[in-house]
Order: sequence, then C-alpha cells, then structure tokens
Amino acid sequence: MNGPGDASPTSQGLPDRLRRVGGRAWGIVRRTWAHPVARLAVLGLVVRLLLAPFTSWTGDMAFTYWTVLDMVAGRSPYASMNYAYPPGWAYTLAAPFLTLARFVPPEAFGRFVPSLVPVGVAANMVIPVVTSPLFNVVAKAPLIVGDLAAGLVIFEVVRGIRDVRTAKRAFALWFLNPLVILVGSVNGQFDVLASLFLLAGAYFLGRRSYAYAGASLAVSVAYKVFAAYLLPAYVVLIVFRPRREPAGSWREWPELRFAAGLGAAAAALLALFPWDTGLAALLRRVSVPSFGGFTIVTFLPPDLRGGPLVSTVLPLLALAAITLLAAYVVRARADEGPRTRDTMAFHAVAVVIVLATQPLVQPQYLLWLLPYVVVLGVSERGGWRRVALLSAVGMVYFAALAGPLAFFYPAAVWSGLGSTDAINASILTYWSRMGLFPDSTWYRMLANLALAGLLAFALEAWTSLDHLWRIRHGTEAAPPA
Amino acid sequence: MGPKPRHLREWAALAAGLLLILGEALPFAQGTVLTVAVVQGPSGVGPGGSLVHVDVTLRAGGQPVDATAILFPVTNASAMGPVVFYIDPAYPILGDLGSIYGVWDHLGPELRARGYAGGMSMANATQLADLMNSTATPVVVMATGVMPRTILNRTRNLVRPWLERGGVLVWAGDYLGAYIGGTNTTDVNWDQAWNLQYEGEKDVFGSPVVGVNTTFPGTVNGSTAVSAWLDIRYPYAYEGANLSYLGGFGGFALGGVANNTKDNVSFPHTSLAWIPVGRGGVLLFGYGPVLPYGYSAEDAVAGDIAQALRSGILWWDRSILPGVANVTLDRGGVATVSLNVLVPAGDPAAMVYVYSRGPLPTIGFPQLVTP
Repeated sequence: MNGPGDASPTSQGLPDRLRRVGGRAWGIVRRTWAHPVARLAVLGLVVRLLLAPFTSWTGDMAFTYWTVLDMVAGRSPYASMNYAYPPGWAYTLAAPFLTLARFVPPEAFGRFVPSLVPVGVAANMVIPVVTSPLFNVVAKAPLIVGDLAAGLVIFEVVRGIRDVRTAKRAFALWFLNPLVILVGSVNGQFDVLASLFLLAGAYFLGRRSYAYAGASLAVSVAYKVFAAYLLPAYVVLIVFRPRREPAGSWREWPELRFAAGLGAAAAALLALFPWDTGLAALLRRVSVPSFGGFTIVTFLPPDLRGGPLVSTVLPLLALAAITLLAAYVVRARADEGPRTRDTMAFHAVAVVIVLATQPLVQPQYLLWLLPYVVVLGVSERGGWRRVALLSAVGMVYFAALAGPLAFFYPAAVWSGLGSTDAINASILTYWSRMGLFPDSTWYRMLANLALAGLLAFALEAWTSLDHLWRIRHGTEAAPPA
Repeated sequence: MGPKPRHLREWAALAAGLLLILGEALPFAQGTVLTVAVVQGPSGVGPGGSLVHVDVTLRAGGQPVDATAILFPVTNASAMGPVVFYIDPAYPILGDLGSIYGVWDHLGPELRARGYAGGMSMANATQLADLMNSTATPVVVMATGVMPRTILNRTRNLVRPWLERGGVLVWAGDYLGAYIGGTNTTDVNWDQAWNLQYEGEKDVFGSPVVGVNTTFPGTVNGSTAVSAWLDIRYPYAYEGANLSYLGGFGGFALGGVANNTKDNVSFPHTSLAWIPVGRGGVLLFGYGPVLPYGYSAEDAVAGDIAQALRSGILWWDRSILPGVANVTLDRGGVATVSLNVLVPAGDPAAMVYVYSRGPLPTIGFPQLVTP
C-alpha cells in the first residue's frame, strides 16, 4: 500500500521543506517590500545600476584596477605601490574580483587607451587606463551596498529622533542625492564606506553597543584614516558617561567593551598587513602632500602650506578641539548622557573640524559629513537646504575639474556609447589656455567653490554647536511633534 | 533560527567584518602567476665561441599569462650592485617632487619582482660625492633633473671617473648635466651662470649624446628591437640620446624612437638608451617621471629601470643576436621553449631572462648560464 500515511519521510519532506523555504523567502520579500523606504531604494538602485557600468573617474578607478591586478597576481595590494590607502578598500575588492578572475581573464578588466595620453598630459587628472563595464559594476557593487546601508542607518536614526515620515525623507535625501550617486556609482570612489562605518560607530555609541562602536571606528579607519581623529573623543564619551549599567556584569565596563571591539577589529585587519610596503605606500603621499579643496589650507599662503603649521599644528589643534568638544557634550547632559541627536551633532562638528584642517579635501570627502547634515537637517524647518547646498557645491566642483564629460570614458571606450575623441576634445578645450578656462580662471573658480564649501561647513558646525549649547544651558526647544 | 530582528544591525556589522577578513587573506591563496625552470643543455662549439642551449619551462598559475624568454651573451657577468637613489631636499629639482619620490617608491617593488634581493638606499648630495670619490660602483638613480654641484660643476667632475671605474648612472630627468644646483639655489633656469648647459653632457660623455633637444615631449612613434623584446614603456624622447651619436659610444637604444625635427633637421632620439663609459655607463631616459600616471610617470620609469637592469641587457654583446621566444599560456598551462645562442670566446656567460607581460604586474626571472 502506498497511501498517504505510508509515504517515506524523504519523498514527503522535500516538497514540504521547499514550500517552507519558498514561503519564508516570499515572506522576507513581502516584508522588505513593505519597508517604508523600499520603493525609494529600488529607484536609487536602478539609477545606480544604469550609471555604474558606463562611468568612472579614471584618476581613481585606474588605481582600483591596478590594486585588483596585484591581488589577482597573488600579491598584497601594496606590492606595486599603486594603492596608497589603508587596506579596507582593497580587502573589500578582493573576494568579488578574485572570484571573477577565475572565470574572466584580466584583459577584460581594463584597457590602456593611447588617445587619452594627451588629455592626461594637459589635465593631469585623467589616466589613460579605462576600466570595463564589468569591472566597474563589480568594483562599485560594494559602494552601492554602502550607499544603501548608510541610508538605512540614517533612516533608523531619524526614526528614533522623529518619525517614520521624516526618516523616509532623510533616506531619500541621502540615497537619491546626486552627490552620493556621483561619488560611488559614477566615480567609483569609496568614501561612502569610511563614512558608513563612522556613522555606524555613532549609531552604536548612541545605542550603548560599545564593542560595535569600537569595531566600527576601527573599520572606518581601515578605509580612510580621518576617523582616527575621533578616537580620543570616543574614549572621553565612554569613560565620562553617566554610570547606569547594572553592577556585577561586564556591561559595567563599557571601556573594556569598546577597547575589545576596537582592538579585535584592528588586530584582524592588520594580521596580514605588509608593514614594509604598506607603510611606505601610506606615508609616501604624506611626505609630499597635495593641497587644496574644501579646507582652510587652500587659502593659506603657499609658503605656509608645506611647513609644520599644516603637517603638525593644524592636526593637533583639530584633535584637541574634537576631544574637548566630546567633553563638552558629556557635560551638557551630565545627568543622563548624550542622546542620539547630540551624538550626531557632535559628529557633524568633529567631521567639519577634520575636513577644514586637512591639507587636501576633495569633493568626495563631503560624504564623510553628509550623513550628519541629513540627519540633523531633515529634523528642522528648511534644513534640507543645507543638504542641497553641500551636495551642489560638491557636484559643481567635480564638474569643474575636467568638464562634465570626463565621467563617461567607459561608455565611449567599451560600449561605443559616445565618442572617445569627443570626450578628449571636450577636456582639452576645457583645459586649453586659449579656451574658456585659462589656468588662473580655473584655480579661481575652484577656490570660490572651496570657499562656498567652507561656508557650508561653517553653517553646519554653527547649527550643531547651537544645539549643543542649548542643551548645556537648558534652553533646548522640545523636539517638534 | 535566524537572528532576532533587533540584532540584525549587529549581525550585518559582523558579516561586513568577516568579508573584510576574508578579503585580507584571499590574495595570499592565489599562488604565483608564473613559475620558470631553466635547464641548460650540453654546450657545443660554434664559430669563435660556444653554442649554449637552454630549455625554459614556463608554468602559468591561476591566470592566463603572456611571457617572453630571451637568451643573449653578456660581456659582464658580475651581479648587479646595490641601488643608491639620490634625493636631497636642500638641493633644487626640476619636476614634481612627488613623482621623483615615486620613482624610489616603485623601484623597490619592481626590482624585487624581478628577483633582486640587494641593497637599496638613499643618498644626499654630500653622500653622493663621497660615494663617487670612493671605489664603490653601485647603481645610482637620479630623477631630479639637476646635478648637485658636489659631483659636477665647472671645476669638479666626479661623475666621469666614477663611470669609468664601473659605476652605473640612471638618469631620468631634464637635460643630463645641463642644470647644476647648490644649496643656495632656490629656483632653476637655463640661463643661470653656474649651469653647464650643453657642456654638461660633454663633461660626462666626452662629446654630445643628446645634442639639440627638440619639442616637448617628443613622444616615440616607432619601436626598436630591444624595446619590443623587453616591453620598454617609457614614451618620451625629448631629451633622450640622439641615435646618430649613440653608435660612436658603443651604445644602443632600449626604448622607442621619436623622429623629432627642429629647424627642418631631423633628430632621431630614443626614450631610453645605454651609453657605455669606461667599465660603467649611463642609462638615459628621454625625460623625467612626468604625468600621466600609468604611462610616463614614476611607475613606468621604475618599471623600465628594473627591466633594463635585471634583464642584463646593458651588458649584451651586440655582435650576437639574442634568441627570443614569446609564449601564451592558459590558466595552469605549461610550455617549454628551446633557445640557442653563440657565446663569443671573450664573453663570460649568457643571460636567460624570462618575464611576464601585462596586464598583471610584470615578474621577471634572470639567470646566467656559463658555456
């Protein structure tokens, strides 16, 4: 007899299990689609996936390309001394590209394009190596995930401070922001990952998840060193917090949890770090720094830029100012400890201080600050204008570097969508001394944009400091309903 | 059971961390791109020397590889000396300081990728003068475009005697010997009274090698045999050696050729040349490490220096044509190529040089074989 009751466990169990798995997967999809930002996220992802294959900033993507080639060749990312950042970005690229390289030869990753050489000579931010659409998508995928993750953290934070509707607006201000899309999905610059993990650090700090806060800070530094400026401040915020943890548990020792998280992440990420070439690569650009962009250093006399003022005094002042600010934030709410909004305001001011005192601040660095501007700005009447100002300044600065067509080389070189010669001609015309923008005009234009960026920083810092000041003096307005 | 929703963020952070750690370890699991084994066959007797035969077995790793094997007789079988890089912040430079330091940064990895395990150090102007006054004959790399007056000026010439003793000078910069700098020199221009201008190269070589320079950048528009054999990439011949003069020194072009003209006279210059002087000589680039990166800058200059020095081509006995084989290997592919060359009686050895071509970073395998 083969009645229903006699069926073997295997023959009956498999379809059941498949149904269960399918049902669970469908449930996840439904729940995800029901998330307040799902439709916005899909819109942002579609825009990114349309742009990512056919665009890049050769001046950055070429270095990503060479770093990938080093790792595909079984060497450390620093082996050829092309990669000059902390190791995080290279480690992020390793798994996807080493998997891809098992199926696709490295010739399919990028190509030297001789016709770009005169453009590279004239405008020294074009490199005559253009990465393929396949390479661009794989390299930018972690950045797209980073954009989305940062958007979700922003959503969570704003939902905690205000409400879902405002949080949704904040998500849109970030995830559909043209500057955010340009930096990651067009240019292929990885600043969003450093920004995401610092934002996560702030978020976990606000949730009193101190181990995760430490680990997030370490990972942020593994992408870009700037977050290291906040380390003493984190220590102050944790050590001098109001003591509310239950006695007798390890929760009583947040300092230990922070140090454990920080130390474990740092140790794991440095376990295979090649100290000889890695340190040389990291320090080489420090030995001959570049200057300019959204920093007060742009406006210093040239004689002062190369001296100890920029290399030592300003960084130390920045470090001291951020640490003192942390002490102020703790004292402002001595009874209950900083709230999420205080933590965000603190991070906004801290990042402004870091940016304003760096020797070189490129427009993609604005992503370090933008999450906090969004979180704080969206909660205030007309605060979105600050987001718009910062984003617009960054966008215009990018376009001013080599003209608006410089981003589309992959489309022209690999897909025939547009003409490489036309892009070359547009950049050469843009850079020609006989053209519209002789050198002096170009530098003046960038300096003016840098000034606009600094004013946006000042506005942000003022607003955030005002918030912290009001807490300290008990005049903080009740959060709007 | 999956993670509770309230712990999703922590799990996401942990997953990101684990991915990073995986990415940290993965490159080391890739294995090397190319391994090479050279087996020397029995030598025979040829006209005026010995016939050397080698079998070169190339094995690709996890990636497809294009490789070149070259075998040629050499007049000097000494091991390559240590590398000394000149840089002195107190002395002037022509060019971008970042790119000059960049040559140093890239040179170590490029040399090591070609099997170099010797010393590398920096020297300032005083140390360079001391070195050239001594019996040491390392490889000195200068990319500053300006000779420090400690080694060359109107009354002192330490360079030529040092070259004659066996020193190797690599010059990647503006016109060799033309610009002279001291600690009191803040800027550099052609008309400064202490500059040697066109006389500088005569002090070093005895007569002109560059001669009249032409229009910047003098990009090469043709290759030479050596540039093709060794995949020499540096493209500018603006102030490179003039081919018409090179033969008189027993030198030869390693780089490409630019048929530059000035006042309707043709000046064929090369982007990279070897000019023997006594027991040593000068490896002369057509200009310095200039933009754009990936083409003519620090990385390309360092790669070509390493390729020229490690291949042993500077000591090639040019009376004999090399044996050359180009090989394309699939992933995990193996190929064996046989190369033969005549080693004239006065030459101590032959050099087998095998290297991988791009896009993956070049690795090289030099090996001397004696008849």
